[in-house]
Amino acid sequence: MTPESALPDGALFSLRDVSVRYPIRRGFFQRVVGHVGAVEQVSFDLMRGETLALVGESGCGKSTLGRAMLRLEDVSEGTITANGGMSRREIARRVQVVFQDPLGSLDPRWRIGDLIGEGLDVHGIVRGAARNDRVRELLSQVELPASAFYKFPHQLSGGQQQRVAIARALAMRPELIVLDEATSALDVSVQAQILNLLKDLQAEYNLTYLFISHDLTVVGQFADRVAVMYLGRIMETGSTTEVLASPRHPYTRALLASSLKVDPDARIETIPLLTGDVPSPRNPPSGCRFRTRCPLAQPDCASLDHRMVMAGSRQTAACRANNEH
Amino acid sequence: MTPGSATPMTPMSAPSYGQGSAEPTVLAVEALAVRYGDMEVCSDVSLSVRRGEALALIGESGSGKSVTVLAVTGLLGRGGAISRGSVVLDGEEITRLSEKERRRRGLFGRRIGVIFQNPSRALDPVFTVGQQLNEALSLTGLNGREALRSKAAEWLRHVGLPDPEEALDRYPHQLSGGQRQRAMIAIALASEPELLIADEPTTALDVTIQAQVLNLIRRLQRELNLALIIVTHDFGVVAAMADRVSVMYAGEVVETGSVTEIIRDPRHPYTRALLGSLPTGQPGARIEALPGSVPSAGTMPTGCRFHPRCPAAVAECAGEEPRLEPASYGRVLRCLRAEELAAYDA
Repeated sequence: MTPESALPDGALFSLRDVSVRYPIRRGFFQRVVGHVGAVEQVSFDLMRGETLALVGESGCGKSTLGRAMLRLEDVSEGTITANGGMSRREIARRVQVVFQDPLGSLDPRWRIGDLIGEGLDVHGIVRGAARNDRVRELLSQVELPASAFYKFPHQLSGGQQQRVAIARALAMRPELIVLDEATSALDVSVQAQILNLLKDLQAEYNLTYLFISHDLTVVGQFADRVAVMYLGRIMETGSTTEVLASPRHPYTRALLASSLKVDPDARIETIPLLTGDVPSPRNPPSGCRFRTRCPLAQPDCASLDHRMVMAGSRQTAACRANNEH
Repeated sequence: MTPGSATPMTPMSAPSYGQGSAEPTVLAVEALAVRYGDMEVCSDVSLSVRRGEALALIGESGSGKSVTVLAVTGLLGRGGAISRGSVVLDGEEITRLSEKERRRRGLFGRRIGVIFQNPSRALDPVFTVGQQLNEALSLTGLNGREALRSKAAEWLRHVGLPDPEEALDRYPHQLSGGQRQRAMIAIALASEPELLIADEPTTALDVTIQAQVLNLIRRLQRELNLALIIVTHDFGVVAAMADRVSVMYAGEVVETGSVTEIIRDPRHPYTRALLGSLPTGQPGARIEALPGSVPSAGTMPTGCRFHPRCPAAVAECAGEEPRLEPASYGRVLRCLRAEELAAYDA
């Protein structure tokens, strides 16, 4: 057991060597025959009022880590320390989530007013007329018309549904909101509206965001800090400007090079390609997890232990190509 | 097999697209409208693509870009019909052909290849990749087990699947997302089509895989000198892939131009707003969000369909429907105030 360390100044959450593993079950008795390490040895501090982006390809563990923050997943190893209460009931109020698909996360048989008020009812925060007033206030905070109160989710557009999901999260006056690909399914013009709304709400309520995304341009604009994940591990973390402008780890560089730019000179022929697919987390490569696709891989990368190296104000996973051992 | 492929296209009436390229026009869609029952989901779509050229069709959801693809491929389904306009493939009018006639002329899969967004839905789960490739290959008249198998393996090698021989006997679920998309590209191209339509081909893929797949599509398009229509909502894909771009809004094409013109110097207020609402990657900067959302088929505004959201709208925009026509500065766009706004910019 790791002893609980004191939180650094201004931190809301502190993660130390957090791993989330899923059992692999086989056979008639569903015997556990192994584990999938969805998240491996992740450490970072989440500062109050900041936006930390988790980026990476599918299967890199970014959503699992978000679920662990929400206590929807059990942490197999390491510790998550919170500033304040950490009981399940406390966390259910203090940490909220907005998912990618708003229609999938809103019950189609419930009216908008009840969807937004559900948390208020469950936690017994306000009742009766006061509860409805609070819901109407939330509607106006997310810039929805008061007439939405009695509507059903399918009567709203995708952007409006996402606003309802945000109002639902806001209703609990949370400290942290996990935004799991919250704008990925939206059209660009609607995405811009939602991102601006989230920025305004953050400034007003001093909210902390864990912004899970695969879109590096959105992250560059929206996040203060970024953590790049690959196969369950953090490969690089630091301020967004620094990491995106001068990526240090080969994976961050490859990820940035592959993402398309809105520039007619950036033709597909000029984009350097990574070979192959992301390996299965059931059977990750030994040593550096990126070595099977890394353009700079050397034979001894297979024996490299994962650890984070400080480079200025950022941390990068140790890499032979950066002369780290 | 392709009568009329040598006949030059009848010159298109008003808007002349292209940039004086000598290649023949493969597909020309003129003032196309599509109805499902009494809903008009697509009202005035004109576009054309030449051999060896990549045209991007960009628009937000509900802009009618996918319906346009379905109308061209004859896959509108029950209740859907082309109500106005024409679709001409290689000089052949194919607007109102019966399903039987389409099949006879090789319009299902043979002359038009389609890559869909979701390869797991487009591939049949109960047949192996090899069996599905053989179906496409047999459309070209290829026969015999050995010949089919070696040609199929050659296609899989061509699209960069590891172990092509082994992949032939795999079922779609045994491949990764990127590999499935590669297999679908092989199937779409195995019948040697003249026109390849890629409908959001990489939306479901990760960025590193997206770059691989787009690179592959572009390489094959170049090698086979195909006409390519790439349907997308992502300006990054447009910038990386397209030679020319048609921008769609609420069932209409609103602006057409070269990729450099559209991205560097957009002229239609909608194209400008769309590009303006992209995140710039500048930390902390606010994005110029376009208010409102795309109107639905039942509640189309009168006049210009963009006028309720348009920052440049004037009173007459609500009354008069603009036409898609070339402005004095050469761009083809649909805006009553095209000349005025250009003068204002200068």
